Amino acid sequence: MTTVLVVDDAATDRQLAGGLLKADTDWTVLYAVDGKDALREIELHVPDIVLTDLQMPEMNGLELVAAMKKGYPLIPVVLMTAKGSEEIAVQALQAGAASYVPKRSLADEVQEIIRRILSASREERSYARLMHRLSRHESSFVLENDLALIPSVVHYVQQLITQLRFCDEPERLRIGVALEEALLNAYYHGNLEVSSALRETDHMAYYELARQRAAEEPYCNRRIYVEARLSPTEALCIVRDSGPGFDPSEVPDATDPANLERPCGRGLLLMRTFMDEVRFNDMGNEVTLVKRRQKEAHESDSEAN
Amino acid sequence: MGSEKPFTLSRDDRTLILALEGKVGSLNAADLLSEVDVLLDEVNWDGIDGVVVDFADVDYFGSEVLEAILRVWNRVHPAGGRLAVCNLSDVGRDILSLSRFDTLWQVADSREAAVQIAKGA
Repeated sequence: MTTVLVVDDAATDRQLAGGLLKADTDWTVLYAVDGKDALREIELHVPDIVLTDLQMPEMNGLELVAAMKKGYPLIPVVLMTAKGSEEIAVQALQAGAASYVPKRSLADEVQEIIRRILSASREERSYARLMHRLSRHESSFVLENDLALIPSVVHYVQQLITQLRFCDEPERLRIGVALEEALLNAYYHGNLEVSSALRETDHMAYYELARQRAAEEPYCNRRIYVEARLSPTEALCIVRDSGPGFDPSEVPDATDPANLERPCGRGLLLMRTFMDEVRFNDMGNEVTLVKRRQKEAHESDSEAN
Repeated sequence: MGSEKPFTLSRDDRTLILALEGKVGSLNAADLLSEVDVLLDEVNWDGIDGVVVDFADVDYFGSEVLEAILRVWNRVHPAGGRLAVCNLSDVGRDILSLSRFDTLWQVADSREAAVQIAKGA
């Protein structure tokens, strides 16, 4: 049974929209007078879709879209636009509204638009439900020396972490920082063998050398190998480059005040701080990053008892 | 992925404000430092007493961004200038704290507060 929430501060507009939605359908229509009222209704009844006016007191359509994106991201919002609300409609679409229907075209278009958005939304919800049941994921990547691939790999791993509900958002970001630092090290210092010492003295020469080597042999043939093994209890990433390796113990301690303004060592510091475990192979061209799921307080209490 | 401008510039009297744009991270490291170098060359630093770096649009960042800000600090600080950062996420605050840059740069909750710090108020 489809439930649609109609949000409009004008009673006649609410009734008109509701009537058009109910005509020849078995849809249930709920009503709210503004964004704040709508959020109360959504919490109580969890509609399948929201059809909202834009200019309303208390909380307008744009603010409602923003609030729903945060609190109810899987419930789509369709805007009802009128003359004079075009600018706010654009903002609301950019903020995440699924579609819009001009009020003057409501009779002709509203049911068709709602059906179309609902169909897409249902597929998305099913997919989200499935992904929340993902119990384990392993991925392997072989990357050429292309900086553009690094944020993509980080983003991919972070998305998996979200789907596995492994950790909260700040922790997810920290894992992203650690992984990105490991990949950058593999790229610059591993495969391209560009030294931090050069960056200290001339950072432009550092990046220019990296750019040149990325196109020259043997550096251009080197690869970065990435493995991600994720489960609800542990996130493990292995990053291996094809370079000669290094000795991690020789990296300056970035927390030493004497080294505060030196560029080397910060990446390793972030990796070691944001992950539970960072270990290098003997050669120093492979790093394993491990993050274990933090137990909730009630889980720890249960175990203690 | 297209290239994103690393930051926007504005001024509040003798305070320069750098608002970092979008996902400033590894992809833009070389671009970021290039733009910082241009900034360092083109700005009349005699007219600047302080700098504010606004992280409002940045969830997280790595060592390259720290490097970029350090370059600005190294230009403004020797002449007695101040640098304040603002609108850091929780992760951003962690990064600054871990790298101990919070011992060099003051951290403010808002741009307004950061501007006051940079002005020496």
